[in-house]
Amino acid sequence: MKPAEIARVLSRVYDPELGVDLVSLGLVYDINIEGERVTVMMTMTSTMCPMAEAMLDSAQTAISYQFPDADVVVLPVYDPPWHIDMADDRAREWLGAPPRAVTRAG
Amino acid sequence: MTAGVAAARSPALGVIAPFFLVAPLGLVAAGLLIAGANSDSFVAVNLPRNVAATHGVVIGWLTTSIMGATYQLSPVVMGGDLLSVRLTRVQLYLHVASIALFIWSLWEWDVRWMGVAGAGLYISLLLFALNISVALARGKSWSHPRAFVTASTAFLVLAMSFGLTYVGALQPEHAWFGITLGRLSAHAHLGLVGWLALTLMGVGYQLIPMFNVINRAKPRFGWAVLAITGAATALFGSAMLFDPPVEARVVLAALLALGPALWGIDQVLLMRSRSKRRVDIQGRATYASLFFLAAVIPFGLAASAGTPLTPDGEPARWLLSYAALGMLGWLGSTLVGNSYKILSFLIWFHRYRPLVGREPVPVASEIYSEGAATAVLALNGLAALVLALAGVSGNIGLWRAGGLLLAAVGTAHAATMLYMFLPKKARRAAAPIPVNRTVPNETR
Repeated sequence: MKPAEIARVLSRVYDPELGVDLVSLGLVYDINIEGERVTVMMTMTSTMCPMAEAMLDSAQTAISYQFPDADVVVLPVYDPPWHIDMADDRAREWLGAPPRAVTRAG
Repeated sequence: MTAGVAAARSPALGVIAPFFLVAPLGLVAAGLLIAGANSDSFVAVNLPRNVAATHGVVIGWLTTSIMGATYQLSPVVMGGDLLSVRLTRVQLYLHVASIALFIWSLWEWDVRWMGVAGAGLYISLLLFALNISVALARGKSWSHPRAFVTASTAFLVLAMSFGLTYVGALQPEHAWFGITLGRLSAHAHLGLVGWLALTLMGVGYQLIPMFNVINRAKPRFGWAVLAITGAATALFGSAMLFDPPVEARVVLAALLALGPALWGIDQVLLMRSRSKRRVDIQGRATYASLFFLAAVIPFGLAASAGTPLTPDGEPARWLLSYAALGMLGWLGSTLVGNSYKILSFLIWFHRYRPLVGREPVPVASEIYSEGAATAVLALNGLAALVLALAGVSGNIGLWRAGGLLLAAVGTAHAATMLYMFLPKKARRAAAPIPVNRTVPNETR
């Protein structure tokens, strides 16, 4: 069980209101694995997100379904607050936001 | 100020959905009544057919939908649990039976049955107010929606008390007082602005940022809108009972318009800062409602001036245009947009949420048809414009055509809401899964 595998599971869980997966939206802040314990820190697009509880539950259910032996904890985090810049280009396109500006070093 | 959301408190789908499904029948009834209008429909607003159609829209459609939405939103975003979920069902049955009888009795101008149906409606709305008040009282902080709905519920009781008193005054053995145009206006605006507009404006402060992902901008005038609109409605409702002169009416109307105008500015500023740039049915409905709000304010001011601005012989024309723009355009557009979002959320929450993580489930926007919802919104806007134009031009044929459009809106709205209950496939969730997905700390 690796963080990338957990992220892959979470990329199949969609924000039911926005229609974009949790990872593409940039809602997943941290995935920590210690033995069988998986701790996911995730945020919402807003503190008043109507789907907040549903998304936390959905993330937990999805991970537990894929990794039945895991002890899964999904915690809400609101600092830093989510912003559209945290979403990847695919999510931004779906939401109608312009792609992020590409910065070049040097 | 918005409220936190506790979706788990959401009442069962079977409790809320019937309100939304039965409400469009009020539009159908009003539309058919207008479609069958006589050539004298522009002579007075208080002709039986006009009064019946107005109540079909206001109590049949707008109020029934808003009651469903309030039963849903009060526990979830405004306060705590309802007094009784069973009471909501009893209230719905009483409400539907009473409004059907009330519209018929108004049409037939049968004052006896008006009294019976009016009493039934009054009890129904008191039960609603009681149930909601308990939920609102359980709230912990004063968010915009909670404060607005608390005030609007008080105005609902006041508007209904006026209405029932008028029905009492119409009884031959009572004849307590004459029902003048000013008194009708007082009753109408306590209901339309005090109850419906305050509710929709307050809920808008929650739903517009929520559905459009607005998390940086804050409303500027929220509390001022509540204070000004509440005070102006109370003043208007009191003063109009005495049929004041034209100068006073225009000042009262301007005061009444100030709160909604500030609300409109707030919503424009909020929408400009939304993260979700792709506009869905709720966003389109917000823009449509703002357009109609901008149109209804000058119409209201003109209507308040009365005879100088209304064609002689048909003084009801401006008032009917004003009503169409306000009730169908401003309030109706808002309600159409929010109906699809609220009901799709409920269906998703109760039907699909338990399946998430185990199998692909549709997202909320796949539960309703965006195209069909937009068509209903457009049709509703067209009906409002046609009816308003008919009033301005005095064209009875156009007025009847607007009535047919309105009946079509009600039918299409009900059909598209029923469509939401059909099983849906998960199109978005079935998209290919990217392999190289990363999150900030996944390498830990």
